[in-house]
Amino acid sequence: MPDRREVVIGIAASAATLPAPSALAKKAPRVVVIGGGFAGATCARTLKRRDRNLTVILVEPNARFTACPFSNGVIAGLRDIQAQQFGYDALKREGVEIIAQAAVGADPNARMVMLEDGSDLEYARLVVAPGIDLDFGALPGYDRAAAEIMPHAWKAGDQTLLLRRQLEAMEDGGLVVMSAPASPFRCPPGPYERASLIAHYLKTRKPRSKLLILDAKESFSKQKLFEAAWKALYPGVIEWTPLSFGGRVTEVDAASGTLITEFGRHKAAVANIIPPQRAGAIAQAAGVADQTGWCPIDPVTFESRLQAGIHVIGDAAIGGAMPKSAFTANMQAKVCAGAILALLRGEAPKEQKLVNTCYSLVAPDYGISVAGVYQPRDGLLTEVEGAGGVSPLDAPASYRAQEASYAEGWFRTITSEVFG
Amino acid sequence: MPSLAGWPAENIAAAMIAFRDDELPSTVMGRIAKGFSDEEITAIAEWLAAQEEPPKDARP
Repeated sequence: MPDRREVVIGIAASAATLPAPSALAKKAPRVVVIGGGFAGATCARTLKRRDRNLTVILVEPNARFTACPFSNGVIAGLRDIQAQQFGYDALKREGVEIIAQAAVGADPNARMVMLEDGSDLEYARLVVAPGIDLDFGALPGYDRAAAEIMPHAWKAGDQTLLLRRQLEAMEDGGLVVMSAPASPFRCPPGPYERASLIAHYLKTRKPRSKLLILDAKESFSKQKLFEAAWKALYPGVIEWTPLSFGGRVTEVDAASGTLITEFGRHKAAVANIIPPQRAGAIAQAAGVADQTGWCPIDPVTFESRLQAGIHVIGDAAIGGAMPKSAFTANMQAKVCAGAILALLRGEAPKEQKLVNTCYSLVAPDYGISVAGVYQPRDGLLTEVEGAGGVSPLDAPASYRAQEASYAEGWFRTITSEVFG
Repeated sequence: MPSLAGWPAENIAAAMIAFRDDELPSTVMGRIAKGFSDEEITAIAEWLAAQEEPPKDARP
């Protein structure tokens, strides 16, 4: 038993480490973030860094995140999947609480999130950042079982490795067929970077093979830059078929490896189906997705247009001209975190400008980019005129090599900021 | 690539303005800087100059 004097000193010491009485009177506000990708992990970490007293809970069932940017390099055998994978230890060390479960619903009136084990989480503000779901059912014949034969590889991980193994197993001379969806979808230049890097693999390993892109669009991101690079680096390897030439895939038959368009049938040795997409399932369950499948937001706060107290950021959100990219997700997360902190203090959130930059590799030493600056205007995120744009068409090889190196620098920087 | 953290604010602002006005060659920096006014560039530069690497406290 300690004597009385020690007990008194003990009480005095612990009182000194307690927060001020005013802070004790009301509970620290709690922000719940659903989804631990570039959007959700950035938002959770930013909230906690800017306000240590805030309780920040990240709801994410996976122990490890597999990043999509640069995963086309994994498919083409240029990179290991481990280089794409990140854990949440750094967030935990900074005081973000991680709940390793899936969120299955949200009640905006009661301000509660429902978890898969049946428990509930109360929130003062909720951030929904689930990324995309592939819209199985939007393309006849393409379901989860078909995706094991014709991978989408549009969520990085096992699907990325499956497509890589299929390319490795393909005989020289085999035809690779990709299908690209109508807009909007995750990573607008992504299908064309993938086609480029697969062409690089074919050129170096299977020189008799060709790649056909069947596209549900008439045009695509950085098109002139990609087409010029394909002509220079991979002549005769890549063929792109736009919508008006029968590019839209209307059905697939996985068993026979066939893609069916309005104009004909294409039999593939390896097929990569990038299907239509929508916001992740929790967005529908929480009532923040509209009939398009995406989540309309306020461009200043990223608060849902459909449910008060719920913010949506990253690929799941729509609200103007910002493309669905990791850079966008990271940027929106920071702006959203700032708005939430202001709202919790009872202040008016400030309007911010947002930036996006997307790099694509056409070859390991050949990078191209698109950049944009965005601001809230008439309720939408609108591109700032006179800013942004794509890499010049007539740049020398040194410029392309510099952009390829900046692309890697960007990936290292963003992943260390968010997960490191 | 060198980190910007700890650079003096006036150097960062001068570089961004030179990129914006095409006085310094760049890849994406010129395209991005064109979206910002002098005042906004100054605010960005002051924020960056106040950062440690990695940022410990992002409070503006």
